[in-house]
Amino acid sequence: MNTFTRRVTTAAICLALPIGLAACGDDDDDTATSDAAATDTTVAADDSTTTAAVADGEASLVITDVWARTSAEGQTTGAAYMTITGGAEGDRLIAAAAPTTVAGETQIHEVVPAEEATDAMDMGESTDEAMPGMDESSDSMGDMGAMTMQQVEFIEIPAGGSVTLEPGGYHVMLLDLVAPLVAGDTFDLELTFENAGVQTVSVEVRDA
Amino acid sequence: MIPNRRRIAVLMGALAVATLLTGCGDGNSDDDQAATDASDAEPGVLGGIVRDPAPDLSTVSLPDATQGDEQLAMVAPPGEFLVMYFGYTACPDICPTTMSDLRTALETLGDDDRDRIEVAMATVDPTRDSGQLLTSYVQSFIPDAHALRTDDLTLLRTVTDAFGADFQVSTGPDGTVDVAHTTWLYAIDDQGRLRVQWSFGTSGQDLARDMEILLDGDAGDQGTA
Repeated sequence: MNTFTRRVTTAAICLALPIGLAACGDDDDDTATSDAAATDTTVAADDSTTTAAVADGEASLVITDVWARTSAEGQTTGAAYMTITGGAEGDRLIAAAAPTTVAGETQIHEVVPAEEATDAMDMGESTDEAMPGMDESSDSMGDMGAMTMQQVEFIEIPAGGSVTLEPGGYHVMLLDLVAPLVAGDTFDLELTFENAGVQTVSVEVRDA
Repeated sequence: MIPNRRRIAVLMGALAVATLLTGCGDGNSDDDQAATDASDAEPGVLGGIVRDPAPDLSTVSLPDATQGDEQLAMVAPPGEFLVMYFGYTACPDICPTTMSDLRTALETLGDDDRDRIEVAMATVDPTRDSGQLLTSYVQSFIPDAHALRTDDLTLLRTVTDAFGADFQVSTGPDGTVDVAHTTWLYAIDDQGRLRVQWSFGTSGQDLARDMEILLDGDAGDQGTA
C-alpha cells in the first residue's frame, strides 16, 4: 500500500485530466512532503504546539494546529487534522485514539481518488466498459472526480520534514461520535508513533 | 451506450476547459486548487469547470425529503441557480468540508444574491441516510437546503449519469461500509442546464465569486452555445 503522502487535493483537480497531461506530471508524491517541511518548521513555536520528547530528551516531533470541524446534526463521524513535523530522524504515526466519551473508534484514514483505492472498488457495470481513445487507467469513476477513503496502517513522518493532515488528504477519523463536536470544545487525542511513543495532543473543535 | 457516451462527453468537456487552467498544484501549498483561484482568474470568467455542451438536467428529478418527498427537478427557479451535491452523512471529511465551503460562499454573497441560490444535497447512501437524517444534516449547514433521497438506485443512477457523476457503496466482510462518490459541486440554471462545476477544495470565496458571475449573467450564454 502506498501510504506515503499523496497530494489528494491535487489529484482531485487532476482527475479531470485522466490522460495524464503534462500539467499534472510534476506532481511528484515525494516532493510534497519535503517542500511542506521547509515552511512548516517555522511555526513550531506556536502556542498550540505539542513537542514530543524522546528518551534522550531531544525534541523529535512537533505537532501543531490540531483541530476538528464542528459536526453537523446527524453526522456520525468526524475528522481531526494537524501538522506533524518530524525531528532529525523519521517516524511513523501508527495509531490514534480519542476518548470513548468522544468517539467509539478512532482510525487513520486518507482520502484517495476512487480509482486508486487499495481495495480497488468495483465500480459496477456503469464504468466497466472501455472508453475508446482512453487508456485503461482512465476507465474508472475517478474520471468523475470520485473519491473514497481508506484506512492506512501508518503515516510516514519524514526526517526533517512534515506531514499535514488536512481535508481531502490524511485525517484521523472519529467513528461513532458519542456527542456532537461543538465549536470551542477541546478533547485529548492520543497519537502513537513508532519511535516517539504515545503523545497526547489537544484537539480544538472549530466551526471551520 | 448512452451513459458511456455521456462520460466521454464529460471528459472531453473537462479536458477542453482544464487545459486552459494553470497547473495542477505546485505540491507545496495548501492551495492546490489554484485552478479556481480567483486571484489568477480573469474578470467575469468562471473559475470552475464549464462543460460544453452543457449537460441538460431538466429531465431528471429526485424526491425531496424536505417537501414530503415531492420530486425536485434539476431546474432552478426562474432567475436563480440550484447548487447540487452528491454525498452522505457518515462522511467525516469531504462532505462536511464541501458543505462548509458552500456555507461560507453563501455567507460571502450579498442578501440579494444569496436568495437566488438554492442548495440541494442528494444522498448516495440511502440505506443509512433517512430523509429526516439527511434533512437535519444538510440544513445544519444551510437552513433552507433541500435533502434529496431515493431508495430507487436505478433512479439515482439515472440522475448521477445525467450529471456525469458516479457513486459506489460497498460493505466489507467486517461490516465496514465504503462509500465512493463524485465530489463536485454543480450549479444548474433555470433551464436545467449545468452551467459550472467545482472540484473539491474550491474555497468558499471562489465559489461565491463564480456564483456572482452566474447571477450577474456575465458568464454569457455558454450553456446554449
